[in-house]
Amino acid sequence: MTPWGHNDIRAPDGGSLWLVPYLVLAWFIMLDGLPVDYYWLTHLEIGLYLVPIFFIAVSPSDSDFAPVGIAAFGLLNDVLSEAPIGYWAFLFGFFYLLAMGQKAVLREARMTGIWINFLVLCVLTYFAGYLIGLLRADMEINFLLYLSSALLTGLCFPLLYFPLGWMENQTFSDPLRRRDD
Amino acid sequence: MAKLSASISETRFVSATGIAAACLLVGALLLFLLPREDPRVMQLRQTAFDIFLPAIDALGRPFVALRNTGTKVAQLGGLREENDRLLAENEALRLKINEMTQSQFLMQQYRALLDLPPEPDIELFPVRVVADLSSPFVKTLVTKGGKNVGIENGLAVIGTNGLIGRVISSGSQSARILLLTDFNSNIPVVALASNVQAILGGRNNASPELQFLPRKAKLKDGDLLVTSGRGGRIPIGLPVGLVRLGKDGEPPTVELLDDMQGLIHVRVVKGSAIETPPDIDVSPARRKAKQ
Repeated sequence: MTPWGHNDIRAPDGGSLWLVPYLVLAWFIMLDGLPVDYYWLTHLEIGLYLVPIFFIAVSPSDSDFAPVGIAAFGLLNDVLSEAPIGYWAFLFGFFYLLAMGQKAVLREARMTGIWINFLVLCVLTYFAGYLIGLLRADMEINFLLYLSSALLTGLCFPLLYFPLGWMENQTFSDPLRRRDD
Repeated sequence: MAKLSASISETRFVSATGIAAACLLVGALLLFLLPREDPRVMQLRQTAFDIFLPAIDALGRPFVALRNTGTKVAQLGGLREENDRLLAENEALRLKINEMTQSQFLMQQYRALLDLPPEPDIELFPVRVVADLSSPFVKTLVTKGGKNVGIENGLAVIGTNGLIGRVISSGSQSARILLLTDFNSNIPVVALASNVQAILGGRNNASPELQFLPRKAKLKDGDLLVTSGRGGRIPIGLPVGLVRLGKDGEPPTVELLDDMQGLIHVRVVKGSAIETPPDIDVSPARRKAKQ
């Protein structure tokens, strides 16, 4: 008997599509270090990886793998982005928990409602990151730039909402029934 | 019985929320108990880069190719101006070469007169940047090539015009470079015209600051900063930046010679490092034995 094994609600024809948000998350983590020409961009921390986490958290699946997987990806991001170990693992977990709490609210929400919800969660997560920065001597985070990063991340949400939303519908037998579907 | 086993299989000791909360706690503990400069953490990062380097490199290639194409297309419009600028620069450089040849000859004469030992030769080898980890709290680069191409910890790294940072860890396939702009970067420098020594400390923004300046130091605006060679790891005389005096008593800042953004190729400077003197045993037993 193990706490890891329990029933899931994946659609039989969904196959391995449930893995897609995790792959997107890994892709964004790898792309985070892409050399860029714009100085202003290096001051921003656009957290596109929060979008797949949001989808994993609000999906109808209640898999125990999700929080552990997200924490593991957070640690990977800590290692690859040179952030203090535990920083992104904590923020990913924090964002995941916040998003999980919105599952009931988002069940029948419109796209704009989901978007606003994501934006608010993003701002809260970045604010938590800023507070951690205040507690550590080796981190110096500009509050306004960090807030701008959260808002920019929120603005990028629709770009990923449609492909990930479609994939979610293909994966689960009981997807979120959104009013704009 | 079947009912009981089914209910047992569906029994969960911890909910997904509980697991997430436990992961959150582990993250928080790691964050506050594990120092960033811990050697195990440094080793972990280096090993991770060695493992993920092929994937990072492959994923980044289309974007780099796209960016290069965009830059080339943008440059097409200003080809004539660029050509004129290069011709003028070429002429100025020829004059500089003449001056330098004369200076080199004089320097050889002075060195011979003063009987100074020769400076160690420096070797430059180019490496490609595969990841720029510049973010609000860290400024580092990752290069393709580590110990396999002779990169060791502590070596200086230069861009097109001057020093950009130093190697902080080198793995089998990759190396990590701490940029001069990083909060944790400290490089001993000297201002050439005013002969003032200081430490160039990063501030996580574009202009690092001069720390530990002598109280009566009189710096000049536009003074060239070069590495002082203190510490023995970074060769002496590598150009770093220009001093910019602050207005209304503000501390001076430094305008770096190289742009830290979009670096594709950098050069690692391999000079002969000065060995640390051996520790002197001053224990009472040793002193007694000497007597």
